[in-house]
Amino acid sequence: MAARRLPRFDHRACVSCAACAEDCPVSCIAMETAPGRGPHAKPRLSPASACVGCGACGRACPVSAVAMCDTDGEA
Amino acid sequence: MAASYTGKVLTVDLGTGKIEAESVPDEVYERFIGGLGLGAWWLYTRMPAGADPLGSEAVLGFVPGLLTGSGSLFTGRWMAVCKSPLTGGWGDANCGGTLAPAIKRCGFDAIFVRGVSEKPVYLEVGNSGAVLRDASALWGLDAMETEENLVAAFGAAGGKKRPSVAAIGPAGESRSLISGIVTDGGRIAARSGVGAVMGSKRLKALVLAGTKPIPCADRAAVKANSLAFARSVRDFPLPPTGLLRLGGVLLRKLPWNLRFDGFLFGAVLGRLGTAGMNRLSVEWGDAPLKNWRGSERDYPARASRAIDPARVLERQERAYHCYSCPTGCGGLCRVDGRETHKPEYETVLALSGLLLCDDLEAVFRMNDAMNRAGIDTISAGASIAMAIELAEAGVLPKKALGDLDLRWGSAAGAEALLRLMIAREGLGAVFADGVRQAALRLGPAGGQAAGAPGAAPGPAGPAPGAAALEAAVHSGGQELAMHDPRNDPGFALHAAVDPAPGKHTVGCRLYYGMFRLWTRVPGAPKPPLLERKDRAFESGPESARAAVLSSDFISLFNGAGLCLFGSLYGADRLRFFETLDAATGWRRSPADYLEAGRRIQTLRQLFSLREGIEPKDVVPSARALGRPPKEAGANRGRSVPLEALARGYWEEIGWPEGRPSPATLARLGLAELEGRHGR
Ligand code: SF4
Ligand code: SF4
Ligand code: SF4
Repeated sequence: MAARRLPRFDHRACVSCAACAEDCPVSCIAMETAPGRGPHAKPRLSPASACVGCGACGRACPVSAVAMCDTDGEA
Repeated sequence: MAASYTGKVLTVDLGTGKIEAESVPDEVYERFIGGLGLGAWWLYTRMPAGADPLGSEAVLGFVPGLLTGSGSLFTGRWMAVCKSPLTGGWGDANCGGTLAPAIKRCGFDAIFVRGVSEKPVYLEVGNSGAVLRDASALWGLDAMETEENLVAAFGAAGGKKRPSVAAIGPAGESRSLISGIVTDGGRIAARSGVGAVMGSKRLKALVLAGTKPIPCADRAAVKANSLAFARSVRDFPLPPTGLLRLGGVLLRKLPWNLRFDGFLFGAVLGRLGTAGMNRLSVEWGDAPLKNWRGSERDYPARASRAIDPARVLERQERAYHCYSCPTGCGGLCRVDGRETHKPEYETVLALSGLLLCDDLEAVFRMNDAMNRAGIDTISAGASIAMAIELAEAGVLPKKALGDLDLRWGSAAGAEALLRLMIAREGLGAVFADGVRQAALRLGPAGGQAAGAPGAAPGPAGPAPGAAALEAAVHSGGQELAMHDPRNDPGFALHAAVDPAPGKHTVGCRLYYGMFRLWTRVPGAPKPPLLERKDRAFESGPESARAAVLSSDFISLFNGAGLCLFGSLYGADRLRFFETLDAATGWRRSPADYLEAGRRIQTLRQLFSLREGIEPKDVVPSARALGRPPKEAGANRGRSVPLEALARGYWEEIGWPEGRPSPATLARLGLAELEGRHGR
């Protein structure tokens, strides 16, 4: 499969504002909490296969917690 | 470099079905910013004077802010703007969630709807345009069911993007004057009766699914400001929530007011949500109790324990952040197994302390019922409080009361009345449009009106007229929020002089101290850290200046699309003015931006005046002003010198007797707009 760019979320820098999830044109970012990580949800690709690599999430993020990374289609 | 607006608005005429994209000149953004300012400009120039707020000439606007989607923080708020059927003047309601960026991703800075549709419709907007669709099958559904249905239908039709939906529930459909517009599973633009306006147009919902990029002049610079703010936020270890209550006791007993730090407030909000203030406000004298007649003695610790922030938090499954908000004061929980938003401070207090109830589960249920029906929890709580007071005084006819258990402290009675209000049945029909309408219906001249659809009180029993007028706590027709002006007189001032009266979101002593405008604006007064409490009741040039700066700032904030809670961190820490420059490419001084805020504020006032509002007559109810003063508990002996405070505000802003002077209009460049209307 051709290489494509996927977002990688820096959960430490993230302020849980969900702008990435909202601006994603295919709604493939889910905001999820994890046990022991407090009540403020963090973004996760859901599912990664739906991502079209458009970078809208990175564009939206106010605190630069989204980096677009080269990956192969398996990521 | 394109500034952070699209320069286009979507206009929809529901009478003719005509949908158009119209261009807005740059000059309008430069002068009115966007958001609330764009809404005020549009309504003032496009809506004929004297239009029926529920008629076909009325325009309802949905406006995100100038900064929405620019990489800035706190900018996910949108407003509904209209002529308020509740007050008769300018109306607006603010809400968070996801609708604000969704409007802009459709390529528009606003959506304006006029006309009345023959049958129920919803408006769907995407990248390729807008279309009206039949909503007959949705009419009658609650707002959250409507949203679920529309999201599912959009997905089933092949849409990949989850759309943002704004919908009315049964309260808006039946044109309840205290109904709002609901988004995101139970957030609501609640005030001014905006839901009734949407209902009158038979517009059930908006479905927004655009994915267009939102412009911004210098996104990297905007984000650098956001990041710097996010890094600067200091966290505070919070004491156990029970101690917050004691903090309220201390605040009540101290002879001084403190200037609070927004970081501390932000820490409470981020951890506990607005409910963090529940018991502190009760003890401090901020929360009105027993329909504004009681004190903390009527609602002691053993009662307020029910609304302790920890109890609210126990019910929360996760925090909720409006779009681009780093604080996340909201929370999602379950009621009857269905996900919904937790009740906010205003809601909790309007359904607990105001009614002397201590049943938190009932508050959760009523909150959910109101979000589904699309009804303002503040106004509905105030209406229930009024009904209880009248029932306790024995002036509501027995026949009308039926088996309703309307007593102080009876959550079951409150819940039963709420159900009747939503259904407009029996006594509910009397209170379904807020306290002013209820007083009219119950008054000597209003006996007939009480017979609005469904059973209504018969003529038997003592005339409730005078008692009803007194128990109806509002300003200019809109119910006051849960902040007592006898504790902070600024709440009365802005509830009186704002073109949308009765709101708590414009200014007060507490907010002004947190705005920190003196760090950016020459001549802005800097309040001392400690100040004798009676100083807050004195009118003078400094307090007038602070009040006017507050309304300038909040109007500007609402033009930019920010959350009030963002402002409380302080304009400097938020790098608010710097962010405006970065997003627009303008280079303007904070004072110049604030003048744009004043332009928005003054145009809203012109709108209200044009509709016949007499500013001197907009006065919060006597008991909220301490007339007569309370004899016991917090705020005892205090009364608000409203006339002097209003005079000071009007003098400072250049609106003698509430009417912008020719000099003010000339200075703000509004002279040529005045009197112009209805194209
Ligand atoms: S790159 Fe585009 S499609 Fe992929 S998660 Fe980000 S916004 Fe969504
Ligand atoms: S936009 Fe950035 S800060 Fe906001 S949730 Fe996404 S990654 Fe986190
Ligand atoms: S602070 Fe609360 S209300 Fe304001 S934008 Fe954030 S989540 Fe929404």
